[in-house]
Amino acid sequence: MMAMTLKTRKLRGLAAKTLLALAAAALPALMVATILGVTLVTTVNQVETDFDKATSAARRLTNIRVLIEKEHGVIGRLPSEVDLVRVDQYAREIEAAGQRIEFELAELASNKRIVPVELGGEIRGVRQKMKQTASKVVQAVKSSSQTTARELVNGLFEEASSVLVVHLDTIGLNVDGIVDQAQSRLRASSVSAWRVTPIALYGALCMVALGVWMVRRNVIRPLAEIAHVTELAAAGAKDIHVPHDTRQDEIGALARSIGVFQKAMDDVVQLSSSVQKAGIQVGSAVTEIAATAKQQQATASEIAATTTEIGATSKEISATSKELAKTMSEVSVVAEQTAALASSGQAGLSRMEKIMPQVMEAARSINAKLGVLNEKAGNINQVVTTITKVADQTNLLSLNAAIEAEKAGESGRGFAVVASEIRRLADQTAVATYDIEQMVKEIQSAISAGVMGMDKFSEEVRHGMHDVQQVGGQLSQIIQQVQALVPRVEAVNEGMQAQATGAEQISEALLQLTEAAQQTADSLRQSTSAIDELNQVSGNLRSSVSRVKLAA
Amino acid sequence: MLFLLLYLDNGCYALDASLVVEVLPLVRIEKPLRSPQGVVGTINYRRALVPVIDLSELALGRPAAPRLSTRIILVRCSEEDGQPRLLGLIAEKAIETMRCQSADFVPSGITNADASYLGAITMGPRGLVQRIELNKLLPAAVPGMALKQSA
Repeated sequence: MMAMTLKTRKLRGLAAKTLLALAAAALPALMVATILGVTLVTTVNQVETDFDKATSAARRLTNIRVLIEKEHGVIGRLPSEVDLVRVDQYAREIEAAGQRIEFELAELASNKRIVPVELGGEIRGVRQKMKQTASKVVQAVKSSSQTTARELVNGLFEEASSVLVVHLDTIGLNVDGIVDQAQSRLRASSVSAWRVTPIALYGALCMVALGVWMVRRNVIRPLAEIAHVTELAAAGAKDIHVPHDTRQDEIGALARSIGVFQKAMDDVVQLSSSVQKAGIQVGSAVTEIAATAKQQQATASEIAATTTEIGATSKEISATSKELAKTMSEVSVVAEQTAALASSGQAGLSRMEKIMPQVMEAARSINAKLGVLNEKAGNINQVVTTITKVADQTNLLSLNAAIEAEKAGESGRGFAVVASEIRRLADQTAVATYDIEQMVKEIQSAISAGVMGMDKFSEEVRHGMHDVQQVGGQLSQIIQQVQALVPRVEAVNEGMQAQATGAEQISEALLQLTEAAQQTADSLRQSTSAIDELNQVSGNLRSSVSRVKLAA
Repeated sequence: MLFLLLYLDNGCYALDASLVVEVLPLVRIEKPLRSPQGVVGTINYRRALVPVIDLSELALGRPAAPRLSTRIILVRCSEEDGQPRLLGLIAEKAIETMRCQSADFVPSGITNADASYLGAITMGPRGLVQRIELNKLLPAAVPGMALKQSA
């Protein structure tokens, strides 16, 4: 950018040229105007000061006159005052007024034009006299010599005061003189100003015309030429030469930069055709991207659906895990109950185990007793055998006796009877012994049956004990396994809970996934709309590029 | 008349008591190496060796059961030369006597060629009783031995 500043180092700049011309034209007029102005201003200032001084002096004079009047009034009242307190008060008032008068007079006297030295000294002398007189009056009143007081007032005081009035009038005249002087000076300066102004104006106008001519030559015409050339270039003309491009000032810089713009415009037109081609490519690429984005959108919604399914499944898993956990706790309870039952069973078995030896002992003792019985039965058998033998022998004897008796004939008849009796006895005995034998056989068979039974019973008891031991062992195994089960159940429980927690975590993760998928879908929708915009923009680009071509 | 009763299986048989010397229990029978056919052995009866025949073996083909009721019946028989000889008969259930008349025995009407020594029958205390003819028994049992019946 080319900025027209006065800070260019090269004084050959346009601004410097113009300024130089204007300065050369305006300087004389300026000088004249300045001198005039200064003179005028000085005069006016002086007049102003004089007026101020005069005004303040007049004010002071008025004050003094008022104060003198007041003093005069008070002094006049003094002689006829009786109250001493009032007299003191009056004296103070006179004192105060006198001081103020003196102060004002001193201020006035500072300006020697208003109050000349001699006049000042006279006024001071008069005031002194007046003060002295006033104090004498006060004394006279305090010492109740009213007549003296009155005399003083009417005599000395009145004289002094009339002299003072004359002096004050002189001062007033001086002030008026100052005012008149100032007025006449003002009038003189205004007249001279009236004479000089038209000349200065005329001169200024000439200078201005000169300046305008110079500006027109250096600035306006070159600019117009450059503007014309620029319009041609804007209308589409190529290879146009910009005038004034060798000048070293801002116009030259402008011409050169416009030349550069011209070249750049040609480049731009070339660029626009390639941009159009690129725009077409962009359009097709955008269509592809749109298709891909739609696919991705579809995929994202699929993912959302899948995650919902997974979420449902994980909820099912969670529910199942909870059910399983409940079942496991039930199992654990049952296992504990089983363990309790098994231990009670074990207790019962151990009791049985303790009893078994007693039972075995009892069986053995029974067996022993049965053995004893057997022995006794055997003994009985032996006895019975003996008896049987005896019966047999008796029978035999009887038979032989009968036979002998038969042989003996008649004499043996009694003997035969005896023999038959003996035989009957023997038969009875045999029958009895036979019965006994039978009974003993039965006893023995019963005993052996009993022994067999006892043996079988012992065997059974041993088997039973063996079984009891086995069952006891199995029960303790059951107890052990059930007890081993409990921590496993607890482990399963923990695993279930971990599973449930994991399922919940899965659900949460899936929720997050769903959210992410939704976000993806949203972003895809956004990208789709952005792609539409891009499409639009590329279309706009193409149309604007074609416009550029047309213009070129 | 007195008869000594004995049993062969379930059949009751009677033997004339006048022929019986003594009834002995089943004492030890010595079996000699060689004995006449039908003789099962000998016994020592009062320092005399007496041959013994097993009636069950003879009649039934099986030896007599060794029971207390199985006895050796010593009978007197005479040989061809007229000398009295003692003979032992092993009989089962020889434990009682029966008194009846010889005429009570009636012929059975059945003649058994193998057991011709079984003769007439009568009613005993416990059923039919068949009489054993000793003189017919011996030749059948022991050929070469004859028995003279002494009344």
